[in-house]
Amino acid sequence: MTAIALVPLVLWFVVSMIALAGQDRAQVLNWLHAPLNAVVFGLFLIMSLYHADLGLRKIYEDYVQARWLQLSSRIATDFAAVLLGFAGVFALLRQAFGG
Amino acid sequence: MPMTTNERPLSPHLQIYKVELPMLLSGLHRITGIALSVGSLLLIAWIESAVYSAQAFAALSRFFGSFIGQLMLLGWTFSLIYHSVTGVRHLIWDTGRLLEVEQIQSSSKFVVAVTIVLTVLAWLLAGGFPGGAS
Repeated sequence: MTAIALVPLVLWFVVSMIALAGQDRAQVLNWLHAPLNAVVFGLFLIMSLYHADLGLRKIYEDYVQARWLQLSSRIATDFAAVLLGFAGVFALLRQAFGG
Repeated sequence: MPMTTNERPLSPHLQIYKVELPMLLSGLHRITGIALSVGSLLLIAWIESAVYSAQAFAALSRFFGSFIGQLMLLGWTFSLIYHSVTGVRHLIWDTGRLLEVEQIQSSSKFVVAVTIVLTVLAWLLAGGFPGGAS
C-alpha cells in the first residue's frame, strides 16, 4: 500500500526538489508555507518513513541472526520512524501556520 | 523461545549462483532501499534546519554544495529513482504480469536504461553535478 501511494508522491517530490534546487532559505520556507506543498510533503514523509520501516524489517529478518538483536533493531527503527515523522510533520505545520 | 544464536549454516548464494542481471538488480533494489533509509535522516535534518535555524540551514547547504555532499546527493537521487523504477516493476509483478523469463530479462535492461536517463535528467535540471556550485 505504501509502495502504491509512493509512486505519485516520489514523482511529486523529485519535481519539487528540482524546483527548489539552489534556492535560499527564505524561498524554501515560502514554498513550504503553501498548504498544498506542506500537506503533500508531509504525506511523502510519512509514507516514506513507514515504507522504510517495513523494508528494514525484512533486512533485519534476513541478516540479523540473534533474536534479541533483531527485535531491538526493529523496535529502534519503529521508534525512529515515528519520531522523525512526527518531528518532520510538526516542523511543516509550524511553517504553514506560523512563520 | 530459546534466546540462543542460530548456528545452523546459511545456504551458499553468492559463492554458488552465476551472477545474472535480474539477480544484481534485486540486490541493488535492496541496497538502494537501505541507502534511502539512511538518507532520509538528512532529509528530515534539512526540513528541521529550514524551519528552525538559519545557521543550521546554511551549514547544511554548504555541506550539500561540497564535493562529498554533491556525491551523496547524486547517490541518493540515483537510489530514489532506481528503487522507484524497480519498485514499479515489483508492483507489476504482483499483478502477475511480465513474469516470463524473456520478459524479466528485457524489463531488466529497460529498468537500468530508464534509471540512468531519469537520474541524469533530474541532475541536469537541478543544475548540480559533483564539484559544481550548490
